[in-house]
Amino acid sequence: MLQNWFIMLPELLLFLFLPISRLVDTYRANKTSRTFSTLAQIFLLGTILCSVVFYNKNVFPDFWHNTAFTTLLKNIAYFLALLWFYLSSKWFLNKNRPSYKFYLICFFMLLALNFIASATSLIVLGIAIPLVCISYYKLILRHWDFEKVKKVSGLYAVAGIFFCCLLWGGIWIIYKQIGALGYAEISRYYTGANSINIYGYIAVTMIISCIIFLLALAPFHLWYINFISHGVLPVCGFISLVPPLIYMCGLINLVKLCFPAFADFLVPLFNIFGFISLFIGALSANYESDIRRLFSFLSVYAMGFAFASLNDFSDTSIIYLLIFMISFLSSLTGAYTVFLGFKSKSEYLSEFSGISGFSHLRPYMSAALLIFIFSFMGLVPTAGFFAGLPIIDGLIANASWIKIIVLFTGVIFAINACIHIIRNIWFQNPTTKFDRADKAIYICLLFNVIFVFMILLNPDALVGRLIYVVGDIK
Amino acid sequence: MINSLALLSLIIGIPLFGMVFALIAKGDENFGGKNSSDVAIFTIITNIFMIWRIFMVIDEENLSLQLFENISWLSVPPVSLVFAVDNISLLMILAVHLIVLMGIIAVRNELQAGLKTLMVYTLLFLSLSTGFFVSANIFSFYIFFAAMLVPLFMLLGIFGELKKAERLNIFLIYNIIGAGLVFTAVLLIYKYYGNINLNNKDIIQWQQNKGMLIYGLLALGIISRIPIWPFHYFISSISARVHNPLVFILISLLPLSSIYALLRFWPTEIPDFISRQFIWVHIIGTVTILFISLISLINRDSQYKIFAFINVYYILYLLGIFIREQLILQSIGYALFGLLIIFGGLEIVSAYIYSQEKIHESYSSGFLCRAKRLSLVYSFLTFAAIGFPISSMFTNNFLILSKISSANIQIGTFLMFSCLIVSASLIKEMFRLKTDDKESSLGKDDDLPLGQFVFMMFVIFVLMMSFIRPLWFVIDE
Repeated sequence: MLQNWFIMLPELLLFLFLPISRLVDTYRANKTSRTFSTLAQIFLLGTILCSVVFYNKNVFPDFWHNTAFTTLLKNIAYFLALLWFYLSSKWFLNKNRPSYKFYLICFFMLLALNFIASATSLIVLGIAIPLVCISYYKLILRHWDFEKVKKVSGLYAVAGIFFCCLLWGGIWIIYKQIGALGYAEISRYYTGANSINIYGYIAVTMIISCIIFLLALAPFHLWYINFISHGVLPVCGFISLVPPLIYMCGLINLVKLCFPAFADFLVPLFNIFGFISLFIGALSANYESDIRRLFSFLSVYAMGFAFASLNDFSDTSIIYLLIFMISFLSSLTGAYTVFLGFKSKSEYLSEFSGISGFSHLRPYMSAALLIFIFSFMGLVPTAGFFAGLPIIDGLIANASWIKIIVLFTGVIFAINACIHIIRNIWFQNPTTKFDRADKAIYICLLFNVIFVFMILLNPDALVGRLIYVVGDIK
Repeated sequence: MINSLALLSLIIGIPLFGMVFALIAKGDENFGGKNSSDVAIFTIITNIFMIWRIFMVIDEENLSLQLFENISWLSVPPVSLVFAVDNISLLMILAVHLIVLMGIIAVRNELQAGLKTLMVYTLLFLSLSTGFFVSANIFSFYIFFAAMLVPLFMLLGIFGELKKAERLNIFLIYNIIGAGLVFTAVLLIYKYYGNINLNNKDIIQWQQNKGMLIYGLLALGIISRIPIWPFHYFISSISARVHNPLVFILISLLPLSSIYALLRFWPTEIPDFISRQFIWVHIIGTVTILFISLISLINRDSQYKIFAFINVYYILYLLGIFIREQLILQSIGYALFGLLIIFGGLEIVSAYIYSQEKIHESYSSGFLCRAKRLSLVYSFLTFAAIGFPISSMFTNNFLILSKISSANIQIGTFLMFSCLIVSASLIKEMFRLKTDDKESSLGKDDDLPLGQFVFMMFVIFVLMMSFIRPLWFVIDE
């Protein structure tokens, strides 16, 4: 019994943060954003440590199941959250805004995300995903100007409710057909069936569409773009960096463990959504004059690239997908770190007119951003190239020429959008006097750049671990 | 020959280390710039010594790749990087180092703002271009072929002073498309033959395993970097307008990467039905050369004349590569060495003259009548450029042109005519500078600084020695 409590320590720690931070908020007199940031970091470090120690131990294997695969991806997400919490505290300090609720909602979301990543039953997904949607809704409302986010939050609430209904509808259909919601039972049922009826396909489509919505794949990406446009920087960073890898983990588990019989149906479906996202993301990015919105479209493009290039759900394809995602997220983390440096008179700038010529005043930060942008573009010699190489190699090996041409066209549009950023930051004269950047930004950037170079110089260190953990999906 | 000392990795790594030191060089923008240029000069000189050392290690009589280094990079899919060199690749590396050194010496006193940035990107480019010349398998070849674009793009954006920024977008995207074609070809080769070394390139069959597609993509991707019709606009619209001499030199090395890639990649055996089509390449190349040389004759911009000079010879060597004779290929390598040094020297001296003219607002010139050192250097380089027997270009160009003429006399005649026109345009510029103008305020005091003059005399010495024996500096152990 005691052992079970230890095994559940990661979840318990995430949960315990909620009442403890509440107590701190109520009773501590000299509380600043740093207080909550430190508290959040302590709890997250504890969560990371415990999830590593108990990486393959399970208390309720019928509901959620920890494996090396889920542990690795969850820990990467936790680590990104840790980094972002640390950086966000600078934003809250600078703006002199309360941060308690931000950390509270983020931890609540992390708890829900933890279950999505490890779920082995649709009932867990059916509960955790709506909780994540509620967290998103609450996060956007963290803006001090309610009128500014009222419409966005309202629209998101409608969309969120709609997709949660789809999810529940899909789960209900499956339950009616099979009488069970465990991944193993569903997989056994559909794999053993001679033919899958139309209701099976409808149910799977309904469930997957909810995850596609969360992943912000086009045409369901507008909520994400609106969030980035209207949300405060800590919220934008958190929702861009932390959840995607968890959704990917949940999705891979879902397809591999629950719907393997639908893999042939799902791959073209993902490809279609991938291509739409690729083009919408890349083309829309070209018309943006706000760097944050531009990066949000580039994120849509990157997710599109990942799904458009998907060949199947074999271990190799999953490894390629994860390599791409990790490289993409490391670049995005670097970009968001630099966004915290676009500060003038205590205001965080994002319009090109404000940040042009940034490199003249902050050369090191701009150099780091340049590395991340080139990585985004997939140019040699960056981690982005290494991430794209196996994907393109896989497509050529399968002679998927049309996919290659379409992907390459999308990449060209995305590159054009990236050149706009480079031109503004590097090739123009400064128009703004920037505030002195916090040392924390430089430290995080340095670590990020080192990580990117380590991936590039010794990619096998990453690939080797991914091969091991992907083999552990069960 | 296996290279146990990793000498080739070292000559790629030294400029990278130099880049890091240049980046962290202390001081304000101006002083820091000077420090970083000192670091760059020291780095390049160190690397030149390393290259010299490698020349002594390799067997200069052996024409195949030597000093192999194998670096395992990725296991899924299995990819390794292989480096090796021969005489030609080492000569290219040496020439690039020399002209970059010339460029740095020229700009370090002229440019104040952004010198540090310029040095950082120049060293990065130098490292990547060295990597390209020592690449010995398809993946390392592609990685460095494409990577060179990154520092070039940044240099053009920051120092190119381009009036139309859209041209820069087009330039990068155009080159990325070219690199994308090469990448596809490389992955196709990888799929059918594995990560082959460049000295095994002949195992790629023309009529099997999409051989035609592979060679087609390779040729298109590689040639796209040479300003030959219909690709001429994308290169010339950018490079002919760059006024920073160092950046102009670096951007002019982009077609060199294509010539070198073709030297390495072009197969020994070519089916008849393919080689019969080469006449079209010769015609297009000849017409392009003719147009470039004619424009250079009527264009008053000295920079364009130098741009025309180097590109005419690049295209000439491109046509020479299609002859597919070992002797010609070797001649192209040696001629390129001379061409690059002459081009670099001319550009530096011209940029110096242009900057002095600008300072004194005296464009009618006659400058060379009063500046003795400048006159000596400029005249020598111009004579070498127009084909006097004072550099390795003379004999090798003679061989290449005679071989092309023996294959097709009309093409050969047009090519010789074009070379004459481009030479005439250079002589015209020299006459302008030597026609004394009493009203010009340029005088003896504006002559080339002594240090720079001594260095240019050393370059001239290297050029002259290359005429006598291309590898004169190699001392057999």
